Amino acid sequence: MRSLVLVILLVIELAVFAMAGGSDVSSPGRLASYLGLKFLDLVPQLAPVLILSLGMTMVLITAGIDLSVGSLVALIACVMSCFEGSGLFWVTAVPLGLVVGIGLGLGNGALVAKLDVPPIVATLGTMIFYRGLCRVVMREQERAPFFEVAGYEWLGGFTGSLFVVGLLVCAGGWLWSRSRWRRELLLLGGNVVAARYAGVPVDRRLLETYAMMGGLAFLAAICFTARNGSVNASTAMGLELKVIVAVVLGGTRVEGGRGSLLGSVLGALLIAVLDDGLREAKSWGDEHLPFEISHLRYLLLGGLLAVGVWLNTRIGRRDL
Amino acid sequence: MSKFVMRLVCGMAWLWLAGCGTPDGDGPQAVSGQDGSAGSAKVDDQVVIAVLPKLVNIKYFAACQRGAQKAADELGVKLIYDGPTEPSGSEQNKFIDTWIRQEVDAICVAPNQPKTVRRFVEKAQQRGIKVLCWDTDSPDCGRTLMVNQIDDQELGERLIDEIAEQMDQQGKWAIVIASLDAANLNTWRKFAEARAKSAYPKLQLVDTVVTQENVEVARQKVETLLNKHPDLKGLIAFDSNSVPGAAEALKRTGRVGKVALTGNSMPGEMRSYIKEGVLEAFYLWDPRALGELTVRVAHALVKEQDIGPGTEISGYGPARFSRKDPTMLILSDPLRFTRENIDQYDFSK
Repeated sequence: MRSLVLVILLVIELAVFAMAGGSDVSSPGRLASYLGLKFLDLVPQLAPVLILSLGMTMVLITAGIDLSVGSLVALIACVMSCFEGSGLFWVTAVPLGLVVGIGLGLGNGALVAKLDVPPIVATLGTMIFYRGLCRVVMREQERAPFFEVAGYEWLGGFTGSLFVVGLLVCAGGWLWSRSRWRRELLLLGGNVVAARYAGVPVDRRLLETYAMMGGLAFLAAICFTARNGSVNASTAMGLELKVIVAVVLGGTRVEGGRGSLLGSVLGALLIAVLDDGLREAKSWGDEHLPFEISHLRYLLLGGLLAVGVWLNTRIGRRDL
Repeated sequence: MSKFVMRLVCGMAWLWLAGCGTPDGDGPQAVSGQDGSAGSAKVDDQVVIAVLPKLVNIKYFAACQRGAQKAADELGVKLIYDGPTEPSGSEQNKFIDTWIRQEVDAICVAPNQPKTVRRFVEKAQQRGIKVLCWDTDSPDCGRTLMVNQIDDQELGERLIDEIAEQMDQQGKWAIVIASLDAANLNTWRKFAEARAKSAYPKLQLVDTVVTQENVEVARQKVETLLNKHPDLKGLIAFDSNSVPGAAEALKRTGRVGKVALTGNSMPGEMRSYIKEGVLEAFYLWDPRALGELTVRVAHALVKEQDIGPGTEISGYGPARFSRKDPTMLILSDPLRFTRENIDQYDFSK
């Protein structure tokens, strides 16, 4: 039910922006080609957010949060960019990126699970720390070895991104629907004391969740660099907020204990369509209006979040 | 439950109608479908030129926008001037994607990622869109032309000549610069450094600080720099935010008159510092003219007109090309701003 509301919101959004963008959608064929072209662009643009929002859903379910993912994606990309763009890249930089991602994810998990630091504080700290490491690695340079690696650029195109994202969504969905692991996460997010009494290895599950988030950050870094081709120390700044907005919009409870992967994917789409629609609408022309359309971005994003969450809780209550 | 969904659907239908209604009422784009292209921003056969600055909401690029709009109005073309709020290459790429989909006629880009914008330039050119660079160059991206504000070598050498003269051609100097990637800033920096080595052997370059296009960062970093080198005698700041930041740092640390400062910045922001005597002179071009020339050149490309050395461009005069790069147009000589002439210039109008 919740997902249906998001789908309806998405359709409204697409319709409004198709009109506001001055696009020609007068016949079904043209509408299809308009949406098709848009989709071709949105998937590679959105791949990092989509990938991260899957992991963030799991993290939020445990009543945690991971603010460090943006910095982590940047750091992994920075580390990988230090290698030369040759065929060896696949066996040197890529595995190292994976190790860095999972390792630093585990670090987050250890702070939360073993040292009992509240997740928001722990990951706020690592967010700043990882960003600092980016500066140490990159100084003030922009590095661009990625397009020189054979086959790497493909991952940043439409088919490549769709392949990675599709694979992850399927794997996530499968895990979601049947695993005991997911039920344990839900329990520990809802009531950690009860989870302990029920024999759930709480610390271990938390470590696994944050490590998985690190692994997904690695994949997001791959998709990001394969599309944009270069990194610097301020790459992916603010990415974590987009991801969190997408996940919350998708109906995941910040207090833990409830969440939906499909919702998160839809939430990410809603945000991307809004962002892209505003760019289109800007081209239609804001000379008719007393304000600049692009200035509406945050206003509408905030409004969308409020409306989406309100609808979610309303319908959630009726479902119970 | 079902009642609630009904209400939702009604609301949606109303919104849809409202969405349809507005453009119909306003007229022009309701007929846009006649050229048969889905997603087009065109009104009939009007030429659409999209200009992508490094970022929006800073004074320099706002001044460029005014010039671009002026040229667009005179030529009767539609101008889209939009960009990211941070100097981010990945955000710029999204704008290029959107414009390609809308089938604009020309895209003028000031790339934040000059090394990798090629992929998006090629995508645009495959759809028959003319691509040129302006303000900052990406020579390898496959652009047709570059509209440069200045002869890079001339500006770099002017800056070092200015500071050398104020320092009596000896002592320690340092560089303040927005980033080490921005192609234009760093070309000037290299020419300045080369000239310092060859013409002023007694000048000693001691440090280079990076300020991320931000006045406040520039002030903090220059204050640190001044404390680190108490015998520093000169500063060149290479972008419009670094110069006021460095000037403020000089004022706060009481080093006015002891450390010479020059660079390129906007007269509006620098007026008070010039009048207080914090610095003697700085350089710039007219950003409005840069925006204007960019749109005029893009329009000529769309109309398949050849542009070569000496081609008459209306409102500008004969086209001037760089001696080194035959695809690079030069806007003008650098303007030197001093206490005497600064009141004649206001780029915010």
